[in-house]
Amino acid sequence: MTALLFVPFAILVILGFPIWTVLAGSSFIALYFGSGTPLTLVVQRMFTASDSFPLLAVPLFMVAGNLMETGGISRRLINFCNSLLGSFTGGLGMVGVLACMFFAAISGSGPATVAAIGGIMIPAMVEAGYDSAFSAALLAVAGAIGVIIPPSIPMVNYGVVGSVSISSLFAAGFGPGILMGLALMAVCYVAAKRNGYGKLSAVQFRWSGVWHSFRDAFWALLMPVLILGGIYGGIFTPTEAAAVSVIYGFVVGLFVYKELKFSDLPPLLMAAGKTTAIVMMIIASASGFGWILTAERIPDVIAAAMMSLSSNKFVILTLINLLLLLVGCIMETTASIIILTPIFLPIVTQLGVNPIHFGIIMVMNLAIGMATPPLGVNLFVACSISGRTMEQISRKLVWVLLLSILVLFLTSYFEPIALLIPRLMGLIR
Amino acid sequence: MKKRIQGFIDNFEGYCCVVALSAMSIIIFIQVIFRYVLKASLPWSEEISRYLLVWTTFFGGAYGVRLGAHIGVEAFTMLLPKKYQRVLAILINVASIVLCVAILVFGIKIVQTQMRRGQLSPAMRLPMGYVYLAIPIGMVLFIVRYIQRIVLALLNFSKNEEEAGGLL
Repeated sequence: MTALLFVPFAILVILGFPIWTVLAGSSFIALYFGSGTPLTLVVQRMFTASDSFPLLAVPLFMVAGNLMETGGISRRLINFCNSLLGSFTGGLGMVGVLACMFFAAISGSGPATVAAIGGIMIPAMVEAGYDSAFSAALLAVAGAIGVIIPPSIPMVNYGVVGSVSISSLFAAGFGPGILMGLALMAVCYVAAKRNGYGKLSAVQFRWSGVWHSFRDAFWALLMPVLILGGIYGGIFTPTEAAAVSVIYGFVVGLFVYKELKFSDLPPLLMAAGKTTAIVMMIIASASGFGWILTAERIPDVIAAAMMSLSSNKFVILTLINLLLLLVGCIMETTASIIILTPIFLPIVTQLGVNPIHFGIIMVMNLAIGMATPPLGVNLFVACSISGRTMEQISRKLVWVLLLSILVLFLTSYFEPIALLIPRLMGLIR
Repeated sequence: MKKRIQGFIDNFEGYCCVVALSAMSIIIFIQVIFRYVLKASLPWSEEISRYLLVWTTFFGGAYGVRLGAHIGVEAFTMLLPKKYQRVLAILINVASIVLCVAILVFGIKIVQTQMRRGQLSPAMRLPMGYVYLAIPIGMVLFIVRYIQRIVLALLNFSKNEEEAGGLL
């Protein structure tokens, strides 16, 4: 039955079928020709998989992100970051990265982060003398931090599939997210120094400027405190935090910053509904697929094959990292997490890797994949903002990507980068 | 007037998502308020929001079909000449209809079973058959949207992408 599952799977993927149809279709074929199990199973599991309270966080964080973008919150975050870093060499680029990090602490989505921050920063950087392809490349990768710093939609998906605490995953995302931000700022500094980017813009650093922009951004900056404080203070679950952030973003956008209008809501909610459903259809149809994988003991077979290559934790992690980077280049994030977690997680836990640590590794890999051609959602957004083609941006991606991959490997081999914070918080042992 | 009706039909599932997502946000927010501020947990809030998510999944999914937003791996098909890519896209839509019909049939079976057994949801005592209806109704919408895409693709086959208004 294994071949009956994987041959149709491979053919449908190569033909470019939407991922959910690939998963549901190959499950039907495998069950129909390969076993006596009733085909209703696939449809029944579609229901059970989407009937999930933790997954409710997915649409709610998407709505929250869209609200921030239209409600004037992203621009205020950028102004605050600019008052802090604008005076340095390469400052404007660093501002973009830092603003992505702040925005990431509110939104759980990569492309939303690129759209919200890049939409303002890329034109501003070009005006200040930065190369537009470089600006787009930098912001596309910085947007990937959006899913590494909590909250994070891919982490919610991983937590649900791997039965791992979502709050602990969130806490483990801080270290790698901040490290990646610093690495990108370093790239930006060097690039600006070499090419003389940003000579036109230099803002002078003033404490009064910092204070003013801080006051203006106060309600935006309070949001991550509220969301994360609520989760770790034991007040609400990640899903409830997402609902609170929707209401908060709505109130702040409508009554405090007054940039959100009621007429903005239907298109904003429709966009969130569409994106949610695309992710959820994949999760729903992956459920039957996953059932067949487990019933056929396929994860065990793959595990045995990998272990026969090496039983060294670092070698296996390296192999998995390379494979995930490759998968991330061609496949969508949710689908990769849903399909690959049940296969890889048992292997690495056998080798003594903490499931939380592996979750972060997996999310980082796929986050980088969001910014690599040919299928990088962040890149698509950055292309449309900057007006440059994928090829032009890809040429400027090299250093930005290399540094992020370096951070990824550091996080993989040096566990405390991810696990120090959840350990200090007493979330894991 | 005619335009407004057409806009409504075009975005029907989208409007359903608007209602469901607003309801979810408000219900879960109220759940937090009740538990934390009023110290009284609501028994039904979690259940209804989960079911709303199921409905959003299948309705929003159909909306995604209309917008051509369900993506697959394009790395390989990109290598084909444009004309073949279009033919392939139409064939994929046809094959997807076959899949949706299969899901529709099994979905109806599940609804019938649930109705016969009289299964009720734990908190709200809602007949589970109604909740499961999301699948067959959703699949009918999927099929309608796939047919719409195929027809549009065939009508605009010889035009280039801009002329077709991004509907290909």
